Amino acid sequence: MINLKNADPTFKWEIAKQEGGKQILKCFGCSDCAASCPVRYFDERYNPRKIIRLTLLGMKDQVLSSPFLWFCAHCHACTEHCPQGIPVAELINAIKNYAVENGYCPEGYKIQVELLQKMGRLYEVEDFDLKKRQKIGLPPVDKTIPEVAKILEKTGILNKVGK
Amino acid sequence: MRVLVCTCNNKIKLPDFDLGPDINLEMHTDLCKRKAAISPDEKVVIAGCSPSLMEGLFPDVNAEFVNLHEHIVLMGHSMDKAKDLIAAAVEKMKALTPIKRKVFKIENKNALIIGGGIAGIEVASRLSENGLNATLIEKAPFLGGTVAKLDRLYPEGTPYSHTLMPQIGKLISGKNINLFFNTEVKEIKGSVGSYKIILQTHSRGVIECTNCGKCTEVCPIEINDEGKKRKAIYYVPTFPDKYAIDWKNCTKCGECLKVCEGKIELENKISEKEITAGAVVVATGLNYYDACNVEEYGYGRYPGVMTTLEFERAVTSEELKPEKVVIVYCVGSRDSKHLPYCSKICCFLGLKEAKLITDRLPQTQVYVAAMDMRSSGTFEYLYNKLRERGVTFIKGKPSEILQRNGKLVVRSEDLYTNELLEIEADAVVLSTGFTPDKETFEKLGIKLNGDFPILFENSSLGNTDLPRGIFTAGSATFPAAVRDTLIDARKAAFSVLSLLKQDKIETLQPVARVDEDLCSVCRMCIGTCAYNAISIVDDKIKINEELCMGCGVCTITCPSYASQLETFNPEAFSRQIKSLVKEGDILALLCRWSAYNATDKAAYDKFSYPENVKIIRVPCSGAVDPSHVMDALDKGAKGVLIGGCYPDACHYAKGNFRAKAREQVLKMNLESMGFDKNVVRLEWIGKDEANKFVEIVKEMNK
Repeated sequence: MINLKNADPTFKWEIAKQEGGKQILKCFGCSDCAASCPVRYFDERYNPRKIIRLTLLGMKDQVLSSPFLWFCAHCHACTEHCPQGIPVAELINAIKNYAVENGYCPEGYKIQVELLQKMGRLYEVEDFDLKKRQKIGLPPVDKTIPEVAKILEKTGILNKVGK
Repeated sequence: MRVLVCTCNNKIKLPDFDLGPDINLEMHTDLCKRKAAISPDEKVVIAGCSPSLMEGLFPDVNAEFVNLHEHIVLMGHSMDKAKDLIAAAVEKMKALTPIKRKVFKIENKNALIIGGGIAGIEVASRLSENGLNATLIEKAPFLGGTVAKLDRLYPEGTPYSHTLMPQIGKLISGKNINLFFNTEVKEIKGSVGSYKIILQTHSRGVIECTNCGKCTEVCPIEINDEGKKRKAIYYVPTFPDKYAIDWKNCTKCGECLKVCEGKIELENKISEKEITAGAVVVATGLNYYDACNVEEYGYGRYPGVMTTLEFERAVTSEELKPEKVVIVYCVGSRDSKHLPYCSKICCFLGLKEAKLITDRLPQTQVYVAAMDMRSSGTFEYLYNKLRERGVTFIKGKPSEILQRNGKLVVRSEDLYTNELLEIEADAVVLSTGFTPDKETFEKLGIKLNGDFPILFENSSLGNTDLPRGIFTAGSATFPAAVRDTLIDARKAAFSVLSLLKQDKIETLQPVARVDEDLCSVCRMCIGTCAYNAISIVDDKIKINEELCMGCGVCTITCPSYASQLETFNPEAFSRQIKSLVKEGDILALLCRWSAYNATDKAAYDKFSYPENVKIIRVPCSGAVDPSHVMDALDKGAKGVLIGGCYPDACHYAKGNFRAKAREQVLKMNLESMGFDKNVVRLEWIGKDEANKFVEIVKEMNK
């Protein structure tokens, strides 16, 4: 049961202020996004419509702490389908950004940021990989990219994910 | 009797044949071009193209049509069948008396308009513009009706006065307009062209008025008139420019007399007046459904729960400044316990109230709890705009409204999220449904189906013109938005104009007649008539010619065949069948509005059915008597098909349901007589379902 007494009516406006989140108010709940979502074929717990509608109702905590928010694969199928022209994938991104800014970053993302900071890439390059590249005639790559760490520092994302 | 055969430019080679004495067979090459001269008083048989075409070419004749083109030529059937069809038609016509010409004199060029709302005002002023006399009567002491109670008209959002006041201006400056206030119809008699109406008028109480307003100040009685407080002596800023006494609430204390600068009489004098009119326009508008009946919403118990009208008035008078508002949709509407229909305009009203409050107090949180949002046309723009303003729409009808800690709590489930919701609010607005004014329709003798007049149930079939001389405008027949009301009023005014500019209406439309010698006044026919055309006058059954639509349902209901349709009486029909049906035939008795047209289409679409299928056109599947089926079976018919409209699509409201009931009785009887009950079939065949018709007859022929 949702008691709207606990709801935050300003939440939808906060999301609307985010990049890509402005159109959220246009949603009339037709469910086309949920029906066209390929992720839903594998896991019904992910439901873009429900995320949007809960946001409109102001259920801030429920939306931001939901692990399903992070299931979106950004395939943009929902954006193609939306009859109101809402860029749903970007909207989900906007909610994610808002979640991270407000300290709702899931563990997996934190680890990814850590790896990026350390190596500048998510996949660690070892001697084995370099040898393989040499074998097929590809030039070697740097094991670490220090510029990425600088970017992360300048954008302030480290503070946002709480590292 | 003349038999006119069209040979379709000599394509049809019908050999000469003898039809008996006094019957002249005439061959025409193309009846469709050279209209043969046929007097309306003679009986003829016309054989040519489909009656759906020939009827248009020869509208006012006493004729039975034989479909040579579609049923014989295109089907490739033999000319012997054509002869049989013509001979059977001749047999039928022999037994019929010619249709009586009906003449309605339009003696009176005055139109009575019942209801002084926006629809009535529009009709009256349009009629006056075109030189007719209009009498407008209004139940209340002021013009304006429901529109005068509103604040703004959406989706445009203009103040109500922008629309209403110019209309009133046009009305009162118009010529030949009589206005009666505090007036209702007491009794109405007569027919098109010469209605006699007795009007009952209550006195206004205020005789002379300077509009000083002192009477209202001193009046001790305060009334809540749909959200607006007023006194028992009051004023509405429309027309006339005079105060009026509300007799229902006035205690006659005399306080107003002491301060009045004009003249007040504290006695409700009721006077009667008889007027005549050629046409009547019902513009009685709508009533808000009483939200008290929907008990779970607590209207009347909790002060914060109000109707849309009350909310509108409270917001515009700045009495109410809520922080959180819930607007509840479908209160009473689409509810089998209350109003089973969708009231059409209440979704607009809910949106309108949401816009009104967010216009004035943008900080207010507005929730709309609706099972469906039906914002047709330009109202979709309003719906989009409100969502962008942050109004939250919840899908789901609230189950109840409670009061907790001085706040209203609305309980609902949001179907968008599948979550139960509780919303605490300062004000809950109930968007109630609407009902029409049934009383006036009953006085006019128009039968109602539920809440609405039955004539308008099938309005797509063009039944809206009957009974002749009575028209409707605006929300009287179904709730309508202001713009639609105005369009409808102009339509009504045009219909009245085109009626009243004539001196008389002449028609050969067949109606039912009662043979008084045979009639035993058993009253069975009265209930079967969907149009209230049958009544008892001086202990005799009387059929009202203006109301009768010619469906023939009563002719079959009558146990002594006393009621007979002019073009279709049981005896003539029986003779036609006996003459037509031969051993092994299949007789198809098809409704002229649906199944008969399917046979035409079968011809155009190159379907084919066996030659032993003989088709007769009937006015309605409900006009087929079990005895006719027995006649066909006696003659050795292999099967009888009765084809009618789909349920709820009957041109005559309920004729096909009668057919269904008769079919069951007939089948029971057939079984008891040792017949196979499946020799008779009643089928719903649509106008374009040629394949269905062909399949059925082929199946029956096996």
